[in-house]
Formats: sequence, structure tokens, C-alpha cells
Amino acid sequence: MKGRLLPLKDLDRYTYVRPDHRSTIRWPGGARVAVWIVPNIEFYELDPGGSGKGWPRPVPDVLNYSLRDYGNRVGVWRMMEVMDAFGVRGSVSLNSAVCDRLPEIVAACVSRGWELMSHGIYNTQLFYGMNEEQVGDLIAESVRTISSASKRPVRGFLAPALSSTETFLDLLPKYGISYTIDLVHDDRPVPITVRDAARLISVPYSSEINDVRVMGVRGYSADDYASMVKAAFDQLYEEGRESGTVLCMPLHPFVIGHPHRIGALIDVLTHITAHEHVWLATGEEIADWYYANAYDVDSKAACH
Amino acid sequence: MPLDHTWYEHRTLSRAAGLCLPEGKRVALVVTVPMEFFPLDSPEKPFRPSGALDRPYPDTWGYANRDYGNRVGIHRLLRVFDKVGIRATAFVDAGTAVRYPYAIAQMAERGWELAASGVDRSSLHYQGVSRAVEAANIANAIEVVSAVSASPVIGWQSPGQSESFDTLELLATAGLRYVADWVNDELPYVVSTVAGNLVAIPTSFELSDRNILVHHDFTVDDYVKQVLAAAARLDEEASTSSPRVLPLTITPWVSGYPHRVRALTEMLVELLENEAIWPATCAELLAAFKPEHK
Repeated sequence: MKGRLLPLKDLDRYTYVRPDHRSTIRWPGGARVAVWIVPNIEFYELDPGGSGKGWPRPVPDVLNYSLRDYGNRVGVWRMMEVMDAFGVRGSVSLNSAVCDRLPEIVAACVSRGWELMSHGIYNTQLFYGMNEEQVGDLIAESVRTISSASKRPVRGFLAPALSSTETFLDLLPKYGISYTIDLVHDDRPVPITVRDAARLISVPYSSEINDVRVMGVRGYSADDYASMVKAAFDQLYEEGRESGTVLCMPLHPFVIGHPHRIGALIDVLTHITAHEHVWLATGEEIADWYYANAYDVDSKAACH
Repeated sequence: MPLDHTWYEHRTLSRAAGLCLPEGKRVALVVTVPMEFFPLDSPEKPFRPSGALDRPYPDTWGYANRDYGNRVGIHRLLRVFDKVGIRATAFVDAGTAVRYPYAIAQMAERGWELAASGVDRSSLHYQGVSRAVEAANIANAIEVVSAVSASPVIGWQSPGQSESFDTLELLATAGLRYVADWVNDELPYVVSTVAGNLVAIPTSFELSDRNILVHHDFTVDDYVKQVLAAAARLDEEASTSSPRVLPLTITPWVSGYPHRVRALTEMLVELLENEAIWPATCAELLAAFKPEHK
């Protein structure tokens, strides 16, 4: 791997700032917590080929492929209907292949004023084993495709299927990305150190209350999922009295979009929207606020 | 010979003795908080300890999730423990002591006990490590934690609770007094090595937050139910028998998340409503253990 001498022990992408040295965040309108919803709209290839992420069963893995496809045929529309009813917008983590293959879905997002972030091209084409040029090409192509579909710049990024290389974060600013959601190390935005003193921040995503992790992988019920998200909201809402926090709700249409689970989304959104002092934001809005109000202070904050 | 080693003799719980709790106390509640650094380059061999990063290198996602515990979660837990009035024992590996000195200082300031816990989560103690390297890792781990501890460091938990055949002897040689790796008892017992004795402090992986919430994927409500059930049973037994120990492992990257911390707080409040419960650090439990008293 280019420029690599030894495997890294530390990520070294952000500094540790002790809690009492952190800047105080005051979200717009006196909100205590910024809530943002991240639908992951993905395309998994039926036959990803040798370098792609393999399916658990031999190709064609009908059961697993069609479960993901269910998200695009059925789940996403059900999820949109619920989000519309609550007047909440999504910040979509989008595999750019969806723009070419299923433009109807992308158009539905754009018409709702949802933000489109890049989540690579396919969720079966991962960064592992790619050199820096290949990673750069993948980012560039995904951003180009998505921005031509949305007619807006792409500002946010999540690596396809959370894959990683030592340097992919360094490449993001060059393609116009101003925030990454690959890091789940904090409940507030944080400056990220990248090559050439370019500017990049992390906006909190979630490994913990992510529908596919909670209900898909770990096997919790929809009621359990709703309890977890509401508890997380209550805690971050309370802590937001002191300094604004971020609650991210990652969703996957092939998980939350099932009829036996959609009620959990209604439950959670009912709970959240019953509160005042909540900023129902997009990732871009959170990032813009942070750059304008806290980035300079936080990026100067000393280590330890 | 009932057992196939010489570290300790077989002893059933009914024959256990020597733990003298303060007047009116029946169950010692020993809360331990692991402070763990999981390096990005952690090897897969010889095994991945609980919590180890498990996606391909570089596991940015896993690294950041564990880091959340040490940068955010632990401070949430400190507030919880302050609120309910518990001083915990932190098992601090050298990797976290160096990287998160403020969090460790906050513990020391509150009178928490700081104990050693290896170099980091990729420096495991097992039979494939030479005796010299293992001894050096133990010395390094103790030295780093001693530098930030107000009192002498007397305790140890190995990364991943993994040991080699030499570990216990090397811990005794290093002057430590207790070890919290073995999960085989609810009362302390003496461990003998050729370099001197140690005390095995009861610890429970079964009832740990990481085992129930992460490895077995129970809800936090189910976790709380299990802990409260354990406390009720131990208290009942202790009313007619010897005292008992309820060891709780509370992990920053597990219980320090917003969706779990309220239930944890309520659980601790409920446990401490029972006046027979005595919250103690491992060092305090050790001081209450007098094996010569039969």
C-alpha cells in the first residue's frame, strides 16, 4: 500500500479532547439535539465477481440478493410514506448505481428535498485491496453520478459497506466531500485530520442503533429496536441542555421497510417529534452549522 | 489429586470462609471497569479477545466504536457512578493510560482503584509469548498505571482474561496481590505460585455487560433483570451462609452508550437500595478477605 511502512496502531485522524475542554454547541433555535435520518439506499450486485464482496451462498444467492432487492421494490416506498407523514427528511447514503439502474427511487428522494450522500457505487464493490488511485476513481465516479442526478453537490460520504483503507479519508476533500460519517467515535461533529491541511469533519453516524445491526444482524425485535432508539434520544436530549448533541438514525429499507417493523419507525418518530428543542436536520445542515460556528475553535483545541 | 494443577485446591462454595464484610453487609458489589485499547493492527492470532476489531484492516469502524467508549462513554459512566455513589476498580491497560490520561485522572481523583491490565488488547498473555516478553509486558503495564495511581497498584486483569502457564507466577514476582481473570468462584481464594501467593478476586464473564449485551445480544432490560436476579439470590444465600460477592463488569464501549445508560443507572440505584449490599473496590474486598479466619 502506497506510503505504508507498518500497519497503523492508532487511527490518528482526530485528537482526543477532554470533555471539559470541548466547545459548547448551541444548535439553531435553541435545539438540544440534532436528529438526522440516514436511509441507506443500496445496490448489491447479483454476481460481484472476484474482487467484490461475496455472498454467503453460491451465486446466484437468491435469498440474500432478493432480500436487498425487496428494500428497493417495497421497503423504501413504505419508509418514505412514514417519513412523509412525519415531515422528516432523509440524508441518503446512496450507492450511485441506483441512479443509473433505479432512477425512480432517486427522483423520489430528490423531489422530497432529501440530501444525497455518496456510499460508493455498489455495496458489493469495497475498498479493501484497492490502491489509492482506484479508491479515488471510485469516489469520483460515485460523486459525479449522484450530483448529476440531484443537480447538487455531494457533501457527505460513507464508504461502501463500511470498508476502509488507510488513506481514503485523505481523498474525500478533493472530490468536494466536506463530511464523512465513517467514524462513530463521538456524539458531536469533530474535525478530521487529512492530507494537505484540507478540511473534513466527521458527523456522527451510529453503529449502535443502526436498524441493520440491531434487527438484521443481532436479531432484536422491532419493539426492542424502538426502545433502544427512544432511550438514546432521551439521553442525548437531556445531555443537550449542556451542549448540543447529535442522534443519527441509520435505516435500511430492506430492514425497517418490512411490514412487521415499520411500526417501530412510526413509534420512534412519534416520540421524537413530540419534543420541542429538536433540530430535524440533514447531514449537510449539521455540517454547515458546525463549519460556521465551531470548526475553528475545535480544530485548534489541544490534545489532552 | 483432585485438580490437574497446583495453583489452588478444590473448594466448594459451602466450605468457603474468610470474607468478613462490614457490620450488616451480606453481599459485596464489586464493580470493575475495563479500560481497553484495541490497536488498529490487532492480530487475529492466537485469538481475538472479547471486543477485538473483527473487520479487515484497517477496521476504522470498529476502532472508532471502541474509541467512543474511552472518549465519550467513560465520562457518562463517571457521572452515573458519582450519582449512585460507587467507586469502581478500573482495569487500565497501558495503551489507554497513555492515550486517555484525563479519564484515568478523573478516576483517581474520585478514589477509584486503578489496577493493571496488560499493555493493550493486542498484547495477549498466552503460551506463545516468551517468559521474558511476558514479564516485560507485566512490568510495563504496572509501571504505566502506577504513574497515575495515588495508591500502589496491587491488582491485575489480563487482556481478554487470558493467561499463560507462567502468568500467575510472574504476577506474584512483580509484587501484585490479586488477579481477576478466573471466573470460578463467588468468594476470594488463595492462589499459590512458586513466587508467592495471590488472591483470586471473583469475577464473572457470564454476568458482564459485554457478554450479555454484545456477545449474546440481550436487551438492556434483560441484562438488568439478570443482574437483579443474581443479587437477590446471593443476598438470600448470604442470609443463611457466608457473605457473597456480586462482581459486575461495566464496559465503557458497551454500557456508556446513550441507549443503555439510563437502565444501568436505575439498576445500580435499585441494587444499592438494599442496605445489605456493600459496594467495594477489589482492593477493599481483598482487605476484607482474611483466609486465616476459618
